[in-house]
Amino acid sequence: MKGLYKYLPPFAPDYSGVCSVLFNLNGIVIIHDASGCTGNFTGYDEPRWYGSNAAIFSSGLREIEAVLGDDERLINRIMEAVERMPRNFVALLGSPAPAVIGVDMQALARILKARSGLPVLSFDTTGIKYYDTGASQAYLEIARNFVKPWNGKKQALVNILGAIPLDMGKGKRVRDIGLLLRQCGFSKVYAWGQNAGLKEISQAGAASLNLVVAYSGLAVARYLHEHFATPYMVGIPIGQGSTNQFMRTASSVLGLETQPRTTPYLLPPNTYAQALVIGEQVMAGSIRSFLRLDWGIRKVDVASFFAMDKELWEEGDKFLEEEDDLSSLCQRENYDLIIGDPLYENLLGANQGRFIHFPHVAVSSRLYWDNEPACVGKQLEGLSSELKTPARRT
Amino acid sequence: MACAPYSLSITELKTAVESGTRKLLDGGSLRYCPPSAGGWGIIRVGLLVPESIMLFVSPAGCGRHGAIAGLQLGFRQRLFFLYVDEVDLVTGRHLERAKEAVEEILASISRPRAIMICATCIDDLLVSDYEKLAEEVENDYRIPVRACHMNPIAMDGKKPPQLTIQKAIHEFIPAVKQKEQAINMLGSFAAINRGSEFYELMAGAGVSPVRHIAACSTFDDLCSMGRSFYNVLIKPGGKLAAEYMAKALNIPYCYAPVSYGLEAIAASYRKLEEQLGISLDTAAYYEKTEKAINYYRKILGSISIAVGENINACPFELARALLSYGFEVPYIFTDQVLDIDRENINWLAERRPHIKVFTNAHPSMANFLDEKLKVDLAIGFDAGYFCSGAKTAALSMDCQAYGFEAANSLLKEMTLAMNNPHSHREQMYAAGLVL
Amino acid sequence: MRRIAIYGKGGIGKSTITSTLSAALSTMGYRVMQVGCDPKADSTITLTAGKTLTPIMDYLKEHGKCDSLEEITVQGFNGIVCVETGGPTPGIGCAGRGIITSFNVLDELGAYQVFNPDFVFYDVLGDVVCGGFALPLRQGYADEVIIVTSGEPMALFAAGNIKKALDNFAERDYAQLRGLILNLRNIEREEEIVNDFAERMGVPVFGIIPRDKNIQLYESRQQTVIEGDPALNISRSIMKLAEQIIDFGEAS
Repeated sequence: MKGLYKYLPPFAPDYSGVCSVLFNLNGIVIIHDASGCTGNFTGYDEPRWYGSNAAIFSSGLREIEAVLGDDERLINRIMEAVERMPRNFVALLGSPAPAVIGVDMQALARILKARSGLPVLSFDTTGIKYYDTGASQAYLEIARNFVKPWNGKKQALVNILGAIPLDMGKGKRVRDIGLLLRQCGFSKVYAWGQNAGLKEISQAGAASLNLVVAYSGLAVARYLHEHFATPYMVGIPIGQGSTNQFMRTASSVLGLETQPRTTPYLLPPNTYAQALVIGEQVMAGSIRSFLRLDWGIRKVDVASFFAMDKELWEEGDKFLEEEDDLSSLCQRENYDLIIGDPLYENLLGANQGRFIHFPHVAVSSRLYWDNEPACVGKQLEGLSSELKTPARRT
Repeated sequence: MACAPYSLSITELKTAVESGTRKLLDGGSLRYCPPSAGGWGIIRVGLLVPESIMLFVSPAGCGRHGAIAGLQLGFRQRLFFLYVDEVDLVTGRHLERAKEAVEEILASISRPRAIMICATCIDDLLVSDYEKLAEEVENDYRIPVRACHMNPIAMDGKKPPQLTIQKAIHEFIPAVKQKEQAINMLGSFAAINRGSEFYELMAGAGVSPVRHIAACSTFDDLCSMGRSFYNVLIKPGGKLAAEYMAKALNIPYCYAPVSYGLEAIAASYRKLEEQLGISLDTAAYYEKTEKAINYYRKILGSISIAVGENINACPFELARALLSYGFEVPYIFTDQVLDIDRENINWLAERRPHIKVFTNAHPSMANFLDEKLKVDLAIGFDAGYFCSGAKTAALSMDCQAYGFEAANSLLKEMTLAMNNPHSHREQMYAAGLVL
Repeated sequence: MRRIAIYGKGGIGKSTITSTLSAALSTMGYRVMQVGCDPKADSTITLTAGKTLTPIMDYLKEHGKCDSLEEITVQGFNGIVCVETGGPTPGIGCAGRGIITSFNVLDELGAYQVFNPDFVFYDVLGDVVCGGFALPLRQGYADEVIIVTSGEPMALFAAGNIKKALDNFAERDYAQLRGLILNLRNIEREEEIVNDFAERMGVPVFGIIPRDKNIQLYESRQQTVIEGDPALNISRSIMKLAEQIIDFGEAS
């Protein structure tokens, strides 16, 4: 039935997406909640939380305040923190409880801005939607508030958009993409949500290229295209074929050329007839390219529980609204290879083809976040040799 | 950038407590959630009911930490989620949908003996009647059903979730008139360790068996707790459960807490003697434990220890015990001060007036790692996190020491911790703490 | 576009006056949209020209989400765009949240851009009872508030409370109180009492609506008096009130 989940855990919620994008920007971030929502983010959605000094707090909302609509207490608490710890900005996020009582986050933001003199961002997050919506909004808000006007010449600068750990893992993959982009001639590589601070983000208008590595980076890439005419490309270079294409396109933006590095490794023809990649749309699409170019699999579908953009959609792709949608899709289609978070495997019947584990932090949280397979610029790491042959079906 | 972390000396805390303070951090501050925050969580405690399943009804986000912990610790397959959307919030139709969900779940698994339906903060605000829902589902399927609440929004009230959940799991027990010379232990998440002298002492006094929900392997075992004539509350979290059972099941109770100091342990035993009308010969255990303390004190040397609140103990009592064993305790991390802590705070303030008490939750703790506090050992993942060079003994809720065995097992765990090669982060994430 | 929220004590005649005002403005050639913000969903009943209007919350209950304005709006008398938020079954759920959810739907579907009205009226249930019922006051919705009152003490008390709520919201840049409409109950010295009250509030009385049985007559035919007979005295009073509101907007 709709909304009933028997196997999968709840996915990372919208407020976690916002927090993740803001994590490294040295602001004071407040989730207006009783503490459980903040605990979701700090304990289960943010691998960087341990050992960090990010100022992300719970407002400590209590019933009596909620019922009385006592927003003044919240404002005072935030002002106390602002005065104690100087930071760049304040961000105020909603959660289910303020959503029910209808707290006006924008109005509180205006008051806080007037009182603190700091930029104040507000987000109507509710815990009902998923992280990708929150992260997408957060990227846009950052761009609107912090990117400076730019009329000068474009620089050898590239922004990586969408690079939060919920999608991209703890940082290795983003660093690997950065290395490839440097080889393409970019001297400045700023990954929003990872290494880029507000100072780097403020220069975004000077970029020659924006690289979108997850759905959450798409809206801001379009915004930057509209305001600064910066072209953007979408995708993560996985495997040799994709990496060659990626490097050619990226360096051509700077008027340079790169030589293909190596030729793709192809499996014997027809090893696999059709494959399914389950995951965040951009990552899943990039794995699709890898399967096509390096492994020669013709039919590869993408399915996702998270938002999917029309521009990246191909025929056969499937937006999954419910747990049941995934099991019935796999029953209907005859996939002999499936790639996705290990937890999806529980939903598939016994008679499936090969399943390659590719953890997604927004799904399986800390269960696998310490062992993400490397994939940038090469084929998926840690594949067993038996994958060269298809699974025998009974 | 940094600001000094908020703290009180134990002497300042003593004065504050005398003037009525119950928490270091009042409502005037935002709350920091260090990675070490959290405990068993409502879901895990709720699933202590043997042969039960839980339906968790909430916006998608709310159940995430509980579900991941469930996957880590192996209870996910007894846990089902029904997500509440915007329309549900307005119309309250999720209560009807919960009934449909139960039907679908029951059709897909072997019949459970009990069902717990868990609501969250939003249903507190909507004043949704889950107790009524539980009653209706119970009537429909003839399976015992109870409601419970994961509602941190009620944390500062008279019925905080960590107390109501312990009550809820004991609400399945039916009232039985005919009592046995048996007792139930309440308040802890695990049954008392088999190695504790407590069992021997009780059996010697004719009190047997000693029951605890976590030791029940079937739902019928849980129901047999209704036959016990007395409840022993060993941790404050079981207070509402004990009060409920006294009233509804006619089982009186007393509070005889888990303690680590020899005198406090002896006092708990004396209380049990009085309340149960029995006599317990504990002298030999007292002496043996005294010797053990001296032995471990020599092995460990005069180490300094930070005490956290995320432990299976009252932090002030534990600090007092450690000082009386001959160790130093320069730092305590805790937010809450219970009535029962007063005496220990006074004792500490008299002997070590400069002990610093931090609260895990103050916003200034975000910068705490810059402090680089040095101790040899930390007890509790929170103390271990904030004193990052120290070895950590978790003293977790997963196993329950009691009586003189508590002092012995604490010292053993401390010794093991001093030689433990595992990283704090690795151990802490493996524990599946839920805030 | 002028966006006006109409508040006032329950039963004071807000919906009747709002609908009649909408009708009056539409006959003057303005494009009007009226949004009923009450779980009873009966604000626009005299405007829908017999067409069935599905309240937004009812639609969402049935379909989960809404992708088209056609499903939740009706163009009634003189093309007035009618919307009802609706709400939960009494006793469960949250009516205030229903207004928030409904407004989000209107926003997402671009209702104000699509219909491009000159006037939007939000007809809001009773007093400002919780966050949801204050939603029409927020930035991005109504800019102006008009309170309907009579000279009766309870009606003035409610009006005073609404003013207090607006004062509390001063720092938030919410909608501002523009004036009162006096709906006569024929108590003694009624105009004097309400004029005094308005003076203390520092706002004008836009108009006085006399008691008139024609209102009920046409209401029973699901019409406003403007539609029923524009030549009636009561219709002319309301046309005058509409002109006052137009003038006030132009003056400020």
